[in-house]
Amino acid sequence: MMVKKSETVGVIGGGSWGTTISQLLARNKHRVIVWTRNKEVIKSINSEHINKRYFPDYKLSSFIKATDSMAEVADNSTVIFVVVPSKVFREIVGRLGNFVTGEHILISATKGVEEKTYRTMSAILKEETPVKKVGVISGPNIAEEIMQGHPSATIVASRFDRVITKVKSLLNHRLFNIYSSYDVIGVEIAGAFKNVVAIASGIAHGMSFGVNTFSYLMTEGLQEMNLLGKAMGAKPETFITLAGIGDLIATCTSQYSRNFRFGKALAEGLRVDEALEKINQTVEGIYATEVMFEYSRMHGVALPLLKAAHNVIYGGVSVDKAIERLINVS
Amino acid sequence: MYDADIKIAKIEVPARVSDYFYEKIKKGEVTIEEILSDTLYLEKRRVKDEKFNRRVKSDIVFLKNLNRILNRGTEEEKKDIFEQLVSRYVNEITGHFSKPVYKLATIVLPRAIGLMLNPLSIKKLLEEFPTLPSVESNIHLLGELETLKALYQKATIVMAPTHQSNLDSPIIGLAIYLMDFAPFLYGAGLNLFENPIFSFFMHNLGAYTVDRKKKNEVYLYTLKTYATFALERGYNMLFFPGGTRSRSGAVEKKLKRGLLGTSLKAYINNILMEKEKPDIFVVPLNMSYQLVLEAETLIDDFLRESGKSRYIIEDDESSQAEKIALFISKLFSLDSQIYLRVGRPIDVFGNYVDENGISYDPKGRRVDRIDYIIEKGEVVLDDQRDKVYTDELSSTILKEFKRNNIILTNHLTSFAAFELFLRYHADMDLYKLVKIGVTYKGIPIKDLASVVEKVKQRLVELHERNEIFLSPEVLESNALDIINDALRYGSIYHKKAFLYRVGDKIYSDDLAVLFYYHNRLDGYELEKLI
Repeated sequence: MMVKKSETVGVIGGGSWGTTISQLLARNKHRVIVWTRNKEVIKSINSEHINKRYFPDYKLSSFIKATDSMAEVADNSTVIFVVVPSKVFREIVGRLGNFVTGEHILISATKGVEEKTYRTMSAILKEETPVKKVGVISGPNIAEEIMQGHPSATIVASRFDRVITKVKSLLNHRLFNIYSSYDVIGVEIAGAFKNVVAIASGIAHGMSFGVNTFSYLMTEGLQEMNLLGKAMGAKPETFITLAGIGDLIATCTSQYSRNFRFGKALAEGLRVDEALEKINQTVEGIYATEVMFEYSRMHGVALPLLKAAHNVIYGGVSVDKAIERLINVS
Repeated sequence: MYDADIKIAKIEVPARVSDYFYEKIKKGEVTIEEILSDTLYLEKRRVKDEKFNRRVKSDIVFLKNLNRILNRGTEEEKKDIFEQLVSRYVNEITGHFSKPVYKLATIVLPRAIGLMLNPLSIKKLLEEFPTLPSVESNIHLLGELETLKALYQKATIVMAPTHQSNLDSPIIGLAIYLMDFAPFLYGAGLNLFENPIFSFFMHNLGAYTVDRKKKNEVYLYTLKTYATFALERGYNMLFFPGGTRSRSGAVEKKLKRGLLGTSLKAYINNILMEKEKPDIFVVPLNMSYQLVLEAETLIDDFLRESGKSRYIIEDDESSQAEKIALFISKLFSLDSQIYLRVGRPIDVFGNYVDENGISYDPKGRRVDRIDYIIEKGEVVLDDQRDKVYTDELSSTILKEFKRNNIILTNHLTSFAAFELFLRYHADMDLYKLVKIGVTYKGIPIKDLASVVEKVKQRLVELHERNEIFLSPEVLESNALDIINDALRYGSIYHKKAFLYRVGDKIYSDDLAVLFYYHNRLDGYELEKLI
């Protein structure tokens, strides 16, 4: 086996997924500099090798260092993973843009699409920085399971071979396999759309529905993301990879998923704001529902499941009513 | 290209092409037999469809020899014939200018045609007819002219215009002259060199030949290598990045990567060779005419069932001297204005560049271009990476094309009229309507004026936001004046009147041509307004 050359890699975002990616990189003996605004997280990583806020029970590698200086991240690494919620993605990447150059490679590990502008994360990376070599990673990657060392895999998508090769060499591990794709838009659509389906699955779970309902929702969801993706120039085969069906299965069946928990809370009778308060973390699916719905309108594609989710979250339609309508149209 | 550089090109270009293919052979990606047999197959097919002439005869003899060597030759002979093939291509590409053809053009062409063509022949116009009314007053150069002039001093320029007509290149030739620039190198179709009229202009442009019928990889790579070489030697070039004239009449929505990619390659080579002026900038250029010489043929080709359209059209209006003469005399008799608008210059990675040659990222931060081609601390060529960069360049050019699209009275009126005809015949789809071609139902001029006004209002908003460009005739006139100006063109040149007025109504006898001019406003979501 080829010996991997150790290098310094940047990670923007010290949340649960950012910390997990840092740990994956460090496991391959790369030095990692994590940028975060959270002083407590910086302190706990640097002095105790734990992320007190997100993973208080996991010992992190000593190869991981935290900082609040983006310049330090950019100056010391060529490859930077950006792992911050889609809501603040543009703002943070805009700041990062002051420190990176055309030599850098930026990888978005954030799933979702920007509210209002309807831009994908890879598009924001290009709009807010001078960097052109961008890519995304996406797949069934529940942070907790990876931290526990469960075998898993992800997909890296970029138009640049160099970006794909680089990410593979940085992250590949006997317990973590990396697949690749040139279909950046397909992977991003899949990563955002599955959040919508996860909310629907959470609702089904909250209503104590059985396996039939889950299978129905997931199949419908997969078809709808494929139809929408196709209209937007994605390749159909992308939706039967880890980024599509793979991620869909994980998010729609895992109790850890925020979108799932949010859906469950809605089924229990909470209003959207109450459900959000209960989760107390960003629920990407809420924005994804709006953006995907807008995409479907722009491209003239009728997607019943997406419409049902949109009605519940934005139209004040009750869960029962939405399910009834969904069954009758599809 | 200067003779001295042609001499170097004839050595350097074949050497680079051979190196490229020999490297592929060495890596086991292809064999010499595969290269030769692919070339032979495609060339035989091409020659079969060509009209017989001296050039074709020589090709046939060569291909026979190639066939023989491919079947029975030794390894050395195969290499030798491959190198001969490349040299033939290089000679054809560079050895462009045929003195006899030029002579023939000036002597045989009727004097009248010569005179009519004069407005476009720079030298004659200025030297022999200093008192003639200058066409300068009909040709308007707009946009980022000063930036272009400043960059011209500092870097090599690739001019990338929209492409509607075979008259584009002589007009750009004139524009280049008016900007006080030396001629740009221009890849003109081989067929144009056999046309005395065009051959005449090609000389002014410093043209080299492009044979779009040659589809084999060896030829295409040779052509790209020649363009790369010329850029490296500092020749400013003119590429039509759409590859061919717009068939629908709309501004290009897709570009060809091939020739455009040579600008990045030449830039990287310049850096590697530590050239003093390594920079190459691409300058988009939009052009607009009230009437397009070949509109009928082009739209006819567009409307053919998909897949049957012709990429190369040789027998259109631009091959007929009388037709060109008629077109030009009509256009100028109406004092028609021709607008050219220079877009914002772009670097080879798709970033905008200012007059000092500094590149900026989308947020306006200064960018060091060299960073894009550094891998592990070294400047390197990387075909796959560079293709993606060229796509970035393409998408910035397309953005500029859309933003600088010049709208004349005929475009706006044709747009409004066609959309109304479409609604009048709601029982027919677009293709059916256009096929029928004639509309017996006239549009009341009042209705047309109200739609023109509505669309114009939206266009003015876009114009103010720099998302389109309205000619002064559109911007400053009311709807009726816009329509009246457009109507002057509706029946003056094309075989059938595509727009005319009877009483208070507007009719069309050629909806396909009307559709063609309408399409210049395609892509701005204006249909929704009607």
